[in-house]
Amino acid sequence: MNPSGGLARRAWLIEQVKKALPESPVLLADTGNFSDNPTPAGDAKTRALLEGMTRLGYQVANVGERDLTAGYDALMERVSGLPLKLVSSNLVRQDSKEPVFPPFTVVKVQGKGRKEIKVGVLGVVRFNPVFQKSGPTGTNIVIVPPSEALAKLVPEVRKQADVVVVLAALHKDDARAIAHEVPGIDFVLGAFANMISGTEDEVEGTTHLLYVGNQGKYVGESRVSIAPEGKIASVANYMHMLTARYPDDQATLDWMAGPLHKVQDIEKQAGGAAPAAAGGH
Amino acid sequence: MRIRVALAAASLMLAGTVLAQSAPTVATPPAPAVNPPASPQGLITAGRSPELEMLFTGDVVGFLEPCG
Repeated sequence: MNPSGGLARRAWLIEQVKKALPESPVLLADTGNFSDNPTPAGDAKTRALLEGMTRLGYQVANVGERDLTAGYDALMERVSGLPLKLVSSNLVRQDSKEPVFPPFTVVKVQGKGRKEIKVGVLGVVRFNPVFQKSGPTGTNIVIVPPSEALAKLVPEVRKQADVVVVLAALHKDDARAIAHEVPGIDFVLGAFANMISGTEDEVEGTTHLLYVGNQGKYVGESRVSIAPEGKIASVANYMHMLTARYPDDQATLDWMAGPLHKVQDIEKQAGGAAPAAAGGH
Repeated sequence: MRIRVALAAASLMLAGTVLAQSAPTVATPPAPAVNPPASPQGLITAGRSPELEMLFTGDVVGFLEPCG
């Protein structure tokens, strides 16, 4: 048994990266499907995870299919009051086909003594024609093909951003297809099942693809050098498997004690035999 | 005397041949730059601070604690 991942190790890693690269602006993102099972204990874990991610400085997250298992209202309750920006480019209202969430956001980051970088962030889930979940104001949420949605959005995002990133909760083969079909995407940062990239820079056309695995066991790192004229000059990728070699950040560990205690209380109230939630084992 | 002159000439020719053979024809490539580890544990690679650093996770499915 060699458990990997966890928010406290993630916090340590982020802090160390910031110390190692003090002048670099940092984008912290999640590609979606962050939610535990839609049980009282699972919902408490999801809320705690999202709170923890905002403590760590996450700016943006894609909405995955799993995050909508209990519908739109339940998700919005879990993210209520958090500064985390949710995006989705291809989850739309069934009635009007308008986006349910902001289809993209532009995150402005600036390092010490550096010029501001505008990162355009979009998000997609795999096309699933039978997906249908309760949405806002009485409508349902459905999924449109990701390439179709991105083809409409990327040109606009390209105008507003220096770097264009798509957060992807879909198979890497689908990500390759998107890179072929939609020009103007610099990065697809993805997670789907246990697909994990190595340190090599995988490029499809001009789009860099990086996949991070699942269950929070890994953190993907991409160091992007940008030439003065604004083009991406080079990319160096690292994949951190958060084994016990990565120490816990003590402050995060201390903070986690509260939410985990609350989860235990909920499980006890449910008779100690609540359906096993996915996270926290 | 003739033998000494012949030996000296042979030595000069041999030295010239050796010099010609050892003359570098291709520049030696520089050793690749290796970034030293920045953290005590050697888990974070140091180097030039890039214009943009991206860190990301995905498909976390509620895992607050280590999994596995």
